[in-house]
Amino acid sequence: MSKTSTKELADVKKHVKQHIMIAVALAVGTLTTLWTSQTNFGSFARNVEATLAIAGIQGFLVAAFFMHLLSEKKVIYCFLVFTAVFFVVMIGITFWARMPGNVIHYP
Amino acid sequence: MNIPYTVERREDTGLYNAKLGVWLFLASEVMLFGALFSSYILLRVGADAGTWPRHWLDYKLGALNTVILIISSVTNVIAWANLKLGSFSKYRFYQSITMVCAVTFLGIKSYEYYGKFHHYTVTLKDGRIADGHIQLQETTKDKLVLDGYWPASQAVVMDPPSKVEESKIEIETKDIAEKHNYGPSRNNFAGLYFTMTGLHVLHIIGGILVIFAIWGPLSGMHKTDPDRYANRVEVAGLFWSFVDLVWLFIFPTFYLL
Repeated sequence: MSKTSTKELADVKKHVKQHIMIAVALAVGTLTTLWTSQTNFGSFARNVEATLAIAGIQGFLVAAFFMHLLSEKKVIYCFLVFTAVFFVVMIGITFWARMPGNVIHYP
Repeated sequence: MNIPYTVERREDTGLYNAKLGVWLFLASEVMLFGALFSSYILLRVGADAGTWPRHWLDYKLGALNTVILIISSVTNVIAWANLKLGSFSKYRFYQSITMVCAVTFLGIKSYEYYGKFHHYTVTLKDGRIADGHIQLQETTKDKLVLDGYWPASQAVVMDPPSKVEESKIEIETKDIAEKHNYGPSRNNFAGLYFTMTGLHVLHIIGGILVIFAIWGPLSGMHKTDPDRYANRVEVAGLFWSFVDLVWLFIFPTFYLL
C-alpha cells in the first residue's frame, strides 16, 4: 500500500466502526419496516408512505456511508444529479400517463 | 500498452478511471431498476380493488435476506478497509463472509422460487377453488394432490388469511377446469416480482463472480500492484453496495405493501 497515506489509513480505521454502526441502523430499519407494515396508520397510502420513507432512509445510509457518497468528488455528484433528474422525469411520465385524457387512463 | 489512471487520479475528475466508470454504470442501473419500479407503480395503482395480490410472499424470508445482504455489505467494506491497512489475510477472511452471505441469499431466493412454481390455484368444473402446494410424489396423470385449502373466492386467493388450516386435497384431473401456478405468467404482480427479483439475482450472481475472481484467481495482483488491486476491490464493493441498496426497495415493495 505504498501510495496510501497515513491520514487515509486513520480514516479507514475510523470508518470501519462507523460501518458497523450503520449496519446495525439498517437492521433496525428493516425491523421498523416490518412493524410499519403490520400497523394501521389510518389508510393504505399512509402505510406506503411510512414504509417507503424508511426504505429511503436505509438507501441513503447505504449510498452515503457504504458507497462513500458523502465524501465523493464533484463529478460523481454531477452524474448523480443528472440521473436523479432523469429518474424523476421517468416517474413523472408514469403519473402523467395515468391522468384523465392521457395515454393510459383507468376509469 | 499501459492503461492510464488505474491508480493515479486524473487532474480533471479527481478520480481514477475505474471509479468514474463504475459510477456511470451505476447511474445507468438506477434507470434500469427505476423503469421497472415505474412499471410497478403504473400497474399497482391501475389495478382494480381486490385484484392485486397481498401476502403472497413470506415476509420473514424477505427480512432474513435483507439482513443477510446488509451483513454482506458491511463485510465487503471491512474487507476493503483491511486491504488498505495492509492485512491481506483479513481482507480474504471478510470477503469470504461476503460470498457466503451472497450464496445464502441465493439459496433462500431459490427456495422461494421453488415454492412459487409448485404452488397452484385450481378451479374445478363445479366452481370450487383449491389452493396449495402440489405433492409431486402423489400426483399422477389422473389425480392432482395438493397440500392446501379451499378459498371461498378468487378474492381470498388474492389476499389469503395469515393463518390457513391446510390439509391434503385430492382432485380428479377430469374435474379440473383450469389450474395456474404462482409463476411469472400468473398475473402482473407475479410477472413483476419474478422480473425484478430475477434481475436482482443476476446482479448478485455477477457480483459474486467478480468478487470471487478478485479474491481468488486475480489476487496475484496484490503482490505486483497492490494499489490497483485495492481499487479493484473498492469498485467491486461499490457495485455490491448498490445491489444491497436495490434490495432495500424491492423488499418492502413486494413483501410488505
